[in-house]
Amino acid sequence: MSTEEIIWEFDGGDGRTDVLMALVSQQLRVLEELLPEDQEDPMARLAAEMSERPVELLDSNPVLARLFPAALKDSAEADQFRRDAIGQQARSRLDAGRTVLSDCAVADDEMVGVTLEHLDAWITTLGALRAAWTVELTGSAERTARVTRADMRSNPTAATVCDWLGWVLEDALGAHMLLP
Amino acid sequence: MHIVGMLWNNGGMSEQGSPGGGTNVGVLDAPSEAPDLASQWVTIVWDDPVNLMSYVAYVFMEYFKYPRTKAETLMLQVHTNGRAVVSTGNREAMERDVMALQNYTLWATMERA
Repeated sequence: MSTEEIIWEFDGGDGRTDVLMALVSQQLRVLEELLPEDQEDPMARLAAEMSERPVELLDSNPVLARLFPAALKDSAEADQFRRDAIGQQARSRLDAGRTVLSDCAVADDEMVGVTLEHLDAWITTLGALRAAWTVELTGSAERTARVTRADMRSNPTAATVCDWLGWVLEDALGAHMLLP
Repeated sequence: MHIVGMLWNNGGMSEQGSPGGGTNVGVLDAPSEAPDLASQWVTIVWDDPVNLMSYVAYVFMEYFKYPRTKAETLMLQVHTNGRAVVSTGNREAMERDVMALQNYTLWATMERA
């Protein structure tokens, strides 16, 4: 199967493409704060990787904390891992999000065709969005935080977004399951 | 893990343990020989109420290139036991695995074997 073959279509009707693009763009802006302004400058990237600022941003932003959880039990080792990994992880997430935006931007009609080559970027981005909006809904970046009925009543918009993203993600995963 | 379309699950999810705690850790394909245990590390994926079960299985297939049956077995171990060892190797390899799994927004940690 060619990687350029359309294997899934995102139903962007009724403004859903615009909504998705807004959600993705919002998350990309948050991620861009973790990187140096001049990402092409190797010295700027090195300085950013040695800086405490990205870790401080994680500590102050629950959504970022959820996207970049501690990888080791020892807090000092976990912080070092974050410092070493955060640039690469942020760039990876940005690339995936920009792929989604690009696909949405070039779609001729309400249905956005997604190729095999881009499917993983869509799935990754949808998963990250859903995790971020669950943090918005629960107010917590803790792994075990569960959505309660009170959460849903107090923030129906976030609840709707989380549900919708879940359905879209499941639809995309279904396309992957059908691959030979 | 999460069932599609539901923001909260009344009965399908296990109790999650905290890192370092928990019992009944599922391990698949543990190496029969461990020539240098001191240098062996493992990558662990933890259960969480957000990530869909189908999504977790997808990640195992996509990143590790595990066959579907193995990916689903590991996913069920995460769901049932609260955690599962998904890979083993030296520290550098596990750091790569953890970073990649976190890119998929899975709760992944690493520790000595």
